[in-house]
Amino acid sequence: MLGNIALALTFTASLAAMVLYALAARGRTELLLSARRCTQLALFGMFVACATLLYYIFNYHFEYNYVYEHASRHLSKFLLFSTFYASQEGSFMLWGLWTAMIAVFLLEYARRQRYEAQVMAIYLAVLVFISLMLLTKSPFETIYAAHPGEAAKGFIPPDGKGLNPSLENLWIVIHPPMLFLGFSLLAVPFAFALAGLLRRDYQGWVVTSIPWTLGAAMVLGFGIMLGGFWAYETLGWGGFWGWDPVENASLLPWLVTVAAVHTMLTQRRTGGLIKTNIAMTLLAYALVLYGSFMTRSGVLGEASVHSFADPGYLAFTLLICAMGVFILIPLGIFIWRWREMSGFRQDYQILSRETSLSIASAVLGASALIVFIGTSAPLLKKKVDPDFYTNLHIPLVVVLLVINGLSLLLKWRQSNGSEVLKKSLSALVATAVLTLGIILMGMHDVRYIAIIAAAFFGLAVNVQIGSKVLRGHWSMAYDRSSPTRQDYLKRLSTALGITVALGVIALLVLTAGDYNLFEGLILRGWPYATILFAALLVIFVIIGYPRITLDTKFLGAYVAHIGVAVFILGVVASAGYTEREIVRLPIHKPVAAFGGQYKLTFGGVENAPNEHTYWLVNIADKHGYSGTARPLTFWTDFNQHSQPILNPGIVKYATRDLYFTLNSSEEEGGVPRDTLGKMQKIAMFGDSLHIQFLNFEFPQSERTKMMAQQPFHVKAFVIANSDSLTLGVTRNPVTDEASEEDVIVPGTSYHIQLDQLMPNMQNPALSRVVLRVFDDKNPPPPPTEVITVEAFVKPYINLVWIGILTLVAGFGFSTLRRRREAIVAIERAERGYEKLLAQRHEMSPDSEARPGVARGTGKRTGIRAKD
Amino acid sequence: MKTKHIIALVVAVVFIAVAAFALVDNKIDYSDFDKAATNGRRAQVSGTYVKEKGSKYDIQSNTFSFMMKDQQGREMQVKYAGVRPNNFELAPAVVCVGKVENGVFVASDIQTKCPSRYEGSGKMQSPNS
Repeated sequence: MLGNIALALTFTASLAAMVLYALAARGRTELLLSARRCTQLALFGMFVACATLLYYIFNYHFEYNYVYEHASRHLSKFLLFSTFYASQEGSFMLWGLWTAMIAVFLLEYARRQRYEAQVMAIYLAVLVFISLMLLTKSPFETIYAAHPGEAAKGFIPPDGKGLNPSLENLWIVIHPPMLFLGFSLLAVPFAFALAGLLRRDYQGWVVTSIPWTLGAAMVLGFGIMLGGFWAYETLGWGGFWGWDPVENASLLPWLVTVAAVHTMLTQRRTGGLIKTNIAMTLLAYALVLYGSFMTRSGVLGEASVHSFADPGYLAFTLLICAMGVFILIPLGIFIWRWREMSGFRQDYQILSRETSLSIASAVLGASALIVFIGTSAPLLKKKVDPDFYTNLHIPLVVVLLVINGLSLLLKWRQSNGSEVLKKSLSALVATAVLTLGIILMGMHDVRYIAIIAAAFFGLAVNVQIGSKVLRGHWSMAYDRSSPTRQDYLKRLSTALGITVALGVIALLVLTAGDYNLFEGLILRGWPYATILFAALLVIFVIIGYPRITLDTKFLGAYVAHIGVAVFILGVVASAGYTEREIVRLPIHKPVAAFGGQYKLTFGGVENAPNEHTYWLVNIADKHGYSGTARPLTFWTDFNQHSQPILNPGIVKYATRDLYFTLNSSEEEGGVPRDTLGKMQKIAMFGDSLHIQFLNFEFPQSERTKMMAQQPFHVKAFVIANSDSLTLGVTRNPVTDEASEEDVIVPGTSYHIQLDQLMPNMQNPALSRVVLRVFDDKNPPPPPTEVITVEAFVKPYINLVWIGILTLVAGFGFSTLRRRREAIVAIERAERGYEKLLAQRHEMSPDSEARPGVARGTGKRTGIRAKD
Repeated sequence: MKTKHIIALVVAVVFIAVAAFALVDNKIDYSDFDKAATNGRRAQVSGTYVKEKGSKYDIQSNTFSFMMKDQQGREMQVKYAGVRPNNFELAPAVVCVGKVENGVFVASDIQTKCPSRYEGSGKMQSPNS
């Protein structure tokens, strides 16, 4: 009840704020204050709604359908928290919460940027839509309202259904919130672009919006990576990206946003690409909505493993309407303003940074187009093979990586060809050497070689040029005119000598002088190797006092570009050169795998609470034991214990991951079992034992016990050689444990046990028994457990994660820089405007001052901060 | 029209041509067993697992096989190089991507649709179960 009231409050307040802001944008500035209050009220409503839902979840209020469907008493606090957004309604709650929280920050920022009224009016439309959606499909629906006729009013289920077991791990706590924060952030550039379009401020909005665009790219990129990492860690198919429509839905807006970042920076510098930037910013948000439509409307029903179910007619219509409103209206305004925006025609020279950035954006756009086509295919009852994406991306990635480096060598406006060549010479040489190296190492696929060479080039250029942001004594060492250079170099070389000597000693001590262990130290002991390296670095810095300072202002682009190159290297290595092998592992018996590179031993199982079983796979490389992988199986009520859920076991090394999924486990050896039909005879042990199955006894009383899930007893009568024997077994139908009576055939050393009776009550003649027969003098080998695992060696997969984290960090640096610049730009513009007013005032004292800028309706063209 | 515009246009046209070709090449139709058997193309067939006929995982060849009934009611054996997918027994529907080879549907991908994957099935379990 409280929850729905809070949602209604959010809806009303955000609608009111939107209208008030719209009026303020039309000149009624006195309404601004109430508009702000309404925005804060909307956030308050969202807070209350979320807190209510969390309260219901944590206190197991299963009378609410959403809580019943997703929460459960056995879930840990962390997982309980994540049931909050485990499904359709809840994820809209999360989206709404982020949107409302951002609104309050955006309000402040936009106010300082003189954009408040227009931007907030547009931005709040998103919150209106989300809260309306939440009212339509509320998470606060009771179970009796959701299932009329099935549940009586007032009925409270004892426990909830719980989360899907494949969601039951800690990544769910962070991945969806990140993703939704990214989606929510993308509404901000959207609002700025539309407001700029309405205000005819075709230049100023770019400066204002860039930090938000970058921030959204950072958060969304991080969110997508977390999803990939999660899939890799838990799903067990060995990859981190499957081009699933739901994954694509989050990738699409990201690609367009990253493309927009590059063209926005170009416009900031050159004033061109006005239409491109507005179009791409609007498109990015349209794709967010398109993605949520695809994943939430049920249209992907057959195409994706993790799309939401059909949300019902009303919600479906609302989704369609939202798409229509947020796509068609901006499109209309865009077309309306088309001619005005076409004024700034600019010709870019081919060898210039603006051209290269435009090409980069075009390539990212082409990538987005491919993903869009593949993702939309299910609408036409079609689907594409993952090859479609990978094959088409190979040329795109090569171009992208070359530009990744080249663009930094090019100047704005125009570059001299030979100069660029001269500057890129060292990078080209490094690329040639490294590429030759990998070819010699045995890489033959031309496509991969092309990508890797391009990545090396991008990496080399970015490291080379990017290292210029390292200032301090570092640059002094390069500056030949510095008077203290000699002293400084001497000091540096002394420090280097001492550090290297210490390092060598440490290595010798750690490996006891065995140089064979060096590789092992890097591969397995890399946490120690990293600590050692860090310690040495500290020693070097203390003695040498190199005082390197980072000029973070220009860091963003280099860091992000290095991240991209590293990421692609990781993708090519791990996707193109993964080795896969199916290995059978008898317990405690080492088995060679991957051409003898590794010895794998199944070391038994480890049982954990909640029916979790870890299967220990011990790994030894040529230096001996190097780790234990622990693939996991567990049983859950979620699928009524019909089959176990599998999670892979991964052992990470610096240069590769060993990845194991359990395929099967079985028992081998032990007492052989023989199946006999009624009256059937069998000869064993070289004709010295004859057994015939005569009859069985399974009385009604025992059958009743079996039905009641109690231990029951059955008997079978056999003739062994010439003796009539009675065999019995007591079986517990719950645990499936059985105690067989051991019968010795008189005068021999043969033992017979009844393993199983398979009676046929309709036609007793068709009944069968399973017997276990063995010779005491020559006992069978004890049973051994054998598991089959699917094993992967994934080289350099760590580069994938490192690359994306670096890319994300780069976006972070850029966000901070562009935010500062946006603030500086508006302050400068205001000073200039005041000056202008003062001048006018002097010229004609009675002319009225135009309150344009202060009210946020004036044009702000011509504001352009210097790089 | 300048040279660079022509170059840009040519690159764009070539790329679109390649993309179109790749799309036709990698397209997978939503289909059924009969159609997939007739045209021999890669197809996505959805249907149900015929529980009575069982399923089998062969360790030696790492093949999982089972009988599946498509939406037209036609039954066919499905073979898949891998283990039994999660939630296989319970899934109300199975979706296979692959090709018909010698009367057997060789799947490269099997998805099990569990309606509760993200979303509740909409059906209550009886309160006393």
